[in-house]
Amino acid sequence: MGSREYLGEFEQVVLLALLQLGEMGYGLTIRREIHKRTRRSVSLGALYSTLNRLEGKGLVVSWLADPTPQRGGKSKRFFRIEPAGVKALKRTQHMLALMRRGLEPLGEL
Amino acid sequence: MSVDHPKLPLVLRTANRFLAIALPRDDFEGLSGDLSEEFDSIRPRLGSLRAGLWYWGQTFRAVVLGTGRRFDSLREFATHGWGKDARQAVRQLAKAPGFSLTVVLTLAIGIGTNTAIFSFVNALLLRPLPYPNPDRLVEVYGFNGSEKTRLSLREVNDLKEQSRSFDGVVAFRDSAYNYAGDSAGDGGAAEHFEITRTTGDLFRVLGVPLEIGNTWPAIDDRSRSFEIVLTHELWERRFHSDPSVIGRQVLMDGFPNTITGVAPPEFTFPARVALFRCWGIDRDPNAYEQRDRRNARAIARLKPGVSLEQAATELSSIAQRLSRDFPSTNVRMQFRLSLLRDSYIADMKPYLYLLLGAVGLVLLIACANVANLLLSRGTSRRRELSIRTALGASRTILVRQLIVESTMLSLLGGVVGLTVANGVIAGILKMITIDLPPWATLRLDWTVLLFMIGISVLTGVVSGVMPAIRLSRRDPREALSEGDRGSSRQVTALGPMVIAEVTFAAVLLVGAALMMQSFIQLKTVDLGFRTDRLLTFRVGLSWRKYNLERSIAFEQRVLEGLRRIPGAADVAYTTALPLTGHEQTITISLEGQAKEQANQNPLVYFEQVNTDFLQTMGIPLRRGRLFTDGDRAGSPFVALVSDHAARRLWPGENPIGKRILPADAFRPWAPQWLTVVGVVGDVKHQSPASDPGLDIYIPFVQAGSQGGDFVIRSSIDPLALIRDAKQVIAAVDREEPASEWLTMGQIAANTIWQRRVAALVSATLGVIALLLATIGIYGVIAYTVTLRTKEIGIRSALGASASGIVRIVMLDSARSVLPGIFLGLAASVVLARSVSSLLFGVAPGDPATFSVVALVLLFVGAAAASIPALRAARRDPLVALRNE
Repeated sequence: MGSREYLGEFEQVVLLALLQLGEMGYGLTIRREIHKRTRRSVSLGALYSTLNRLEGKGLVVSWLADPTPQRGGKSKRFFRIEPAGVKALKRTQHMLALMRRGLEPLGEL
Repeated sequence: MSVDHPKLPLVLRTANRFLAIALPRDDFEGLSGDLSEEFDSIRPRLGSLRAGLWYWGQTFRAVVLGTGRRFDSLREFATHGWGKDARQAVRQLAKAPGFSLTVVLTLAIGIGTNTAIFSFVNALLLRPLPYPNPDRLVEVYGFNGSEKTRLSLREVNDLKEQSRSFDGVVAFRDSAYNYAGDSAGDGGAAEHFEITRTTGDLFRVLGVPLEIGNTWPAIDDRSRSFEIVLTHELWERRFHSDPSVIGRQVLMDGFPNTITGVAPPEFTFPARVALFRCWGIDRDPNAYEQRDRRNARAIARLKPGVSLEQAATELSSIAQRLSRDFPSTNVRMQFRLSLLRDSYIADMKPYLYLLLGAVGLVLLIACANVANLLLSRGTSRRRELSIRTALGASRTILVRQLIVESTMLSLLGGVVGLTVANGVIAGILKMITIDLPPWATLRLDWTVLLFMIGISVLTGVVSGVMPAIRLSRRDPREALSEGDRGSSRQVTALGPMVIAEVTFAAVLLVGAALMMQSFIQLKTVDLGFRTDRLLTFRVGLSWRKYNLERSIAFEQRVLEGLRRIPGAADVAYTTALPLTGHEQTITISLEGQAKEQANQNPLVYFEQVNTDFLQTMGIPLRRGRLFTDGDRAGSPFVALVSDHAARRLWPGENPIGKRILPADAFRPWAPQWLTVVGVVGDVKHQSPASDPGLDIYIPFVQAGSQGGDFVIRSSIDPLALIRDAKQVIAAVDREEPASEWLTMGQIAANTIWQRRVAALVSATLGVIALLLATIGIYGVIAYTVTLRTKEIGIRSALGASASGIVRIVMLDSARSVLPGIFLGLAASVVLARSVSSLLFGVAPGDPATFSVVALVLLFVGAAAASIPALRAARRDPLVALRNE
């Protein structure tokens, strides 16, 4: 995985959601944020799958908070976007912008 | 890491188990927490069902993704061999959602009902008792003549002193307490407790160490009998788990009791109780030495290496010795023993097996149905299979492919079946009106889950193997040239399936009908008294406060108070109400009998009653007179005997004026000759299925007892009188506990609850079986008709009438249904005999039952076949032929 790697579409959505949440959130808040902005329902399984991949690439970090009784005694697993994550996001957005350049008159993108 | 979230419904906790297996720890922790948080937030809006479905949907996706990630090598494997088959199967099943859904639902019913009944078997028969070496724990009980009895405390002590087979013998009995509140003052309300009185060894013999504190010494005199051990639950609830309760005194029944210990969490014995109280040995010989004052149950722990048989032999030699030394009390007394588990569940066991058999049949019918469906669908897939064969797929590969498909279907059926199982379990629990043994908790544990998965796979293979072999046994050229028409081979393959289904359904229906009839007979059997609109409750008076005169006064004052309650038509009192298990049997001698003769007398039920008892219960007078107000303390001692007792004790003679001497067993007064003044109707004491006992009634004012059952016959709903009745007792003595508030109808129903459950569950299963069989027959006939479209078209083109066509199709159905009925009834003749001990008032080979079942199945067979038959008859032959 070189540092020049670009992000997939859902990875970007997840990272952007984290940024919207103030750089930090847990599974349910991320899912709600995505749903609120895009009306798109993602499964928690898919979300964790992506977050794990991002963590593997060092773009986010996660930790378990103390368990709370409201969640059946389960901990929240918080995720925070790392500087590398912000960089990767910018890089990908930039690449997309480059690709879009000159297409603006079409009014479709 | 705890997997369970205690407040989540069981179905969702099951989902969590899947998650825990499929996901790495961190993922599981975060994700399941998210799931339950969101579940709680959407449930009010969407309702439990939709929120639950959402939960399972999320779980399913997470498990699929998670499993794939966790077992990357598995994903590798999935592209080869079996895995490929599985993916192929998923694609095939997704192609025919209607077909898949039908199969899954059919199997869900079969697997779900089996899982439910298995949960009961698991909880009651398989899971070990929660004590160390539970297979060495036995209950010891007595047989007096032919009647099972409890033991006296003295006898338990005899066993303890004389036997060498046991590592500890413990006496215990049930009792009740009124708790006024912690004397230290926790401000809590007064409460009624069910308690266990026990000699001190209980915890040691069971092998359960106390949480804190100590129990009392094994043998102790009565002065120390106010020592108690709290259950953990009571300690938490009323004493806030305060360890300093040890040594504290609390008021129970108005007496200070010292807390000496606290039992470990969840421990209770033998039923659910609040606390354990010392049962000290009463050194007063009048009470203690009475070997036939039998109110104790006993458990013992077998020494290592001692078998049940060896212990039984020793017990009978002790019994022999006692009968020689104490003939007046022990001449016919035998000691027996059984495993502790069996003493809880022996009377449920046959019903459990019966239901297990019934659900097994349902599953077999479901399998046959699914096999039918697979075969029918397989036929329409013939082209696909043939192409694969032509492309070089071996027959093994095809068979494997088809079996993998059916197994996937049945596993899906199993998952859906868990929901069915939960429903069935809840339904059965609702029908069980008594307490199950406290250790028998019904939960979906790994054993049950493995059972479900196991029978799912088995079901998939069983229902898939026949169709797979049939379908793969084809010459590809023949299939390709034949188009989508069926061959005669396909048609004949379906016959045996229908025969099997009808056979199983017939067996199940006969069984269900016999159980249902037995239950109805029992419900309507004459008990010897009227059960309608009777409220009953029991008051046990504390021996310390109440001597005989005072207890008589107490009972009279309560009776007077009850009489004044609006709605109370008649009120009565007895020391032992029939069917409650409070009854006491005693030995008697008759006037003019030698001692040896008297020892041969049958045991009689002995009840002290008030004047109105017999009228209130509706027990009829046959001869002589009932008790009157003239029969009081100081007047000549009188007795009433039951019909049965009169005929047995004085055959061919007039019993009026005969005299009886009760054995000194029963404590209240010195032995007195009782003169029989009347004969009354027989009463059933054990259960509606038992024979009536021999009864002797005496006026309670001539004797005196410390507690008994009160009965109110009301002109309104008897349960509505409870509040007033409680006030009456409180007004007489606030500290005496009244318990067991039940209607006589409830008491009678509780004695036959196993039969009610067995009858209702097997009837439900019978209906399910009938439905499945109907669907099965319909499916097969409809399919056969489709396969024979061309033939039928030719026939009608050649002039066959509509009724002729109908006849052909109906005969087709009859060819499978009739042998099925015949085989089913033949099997039922054999099987019904094995359950004859569970039947009542109906013979195992009852011809009416068999005829009705046969007629029902004939009707179902005809009805199921009639729709496709009429459809075939109406079809235009030209259209039918053109479609070919």
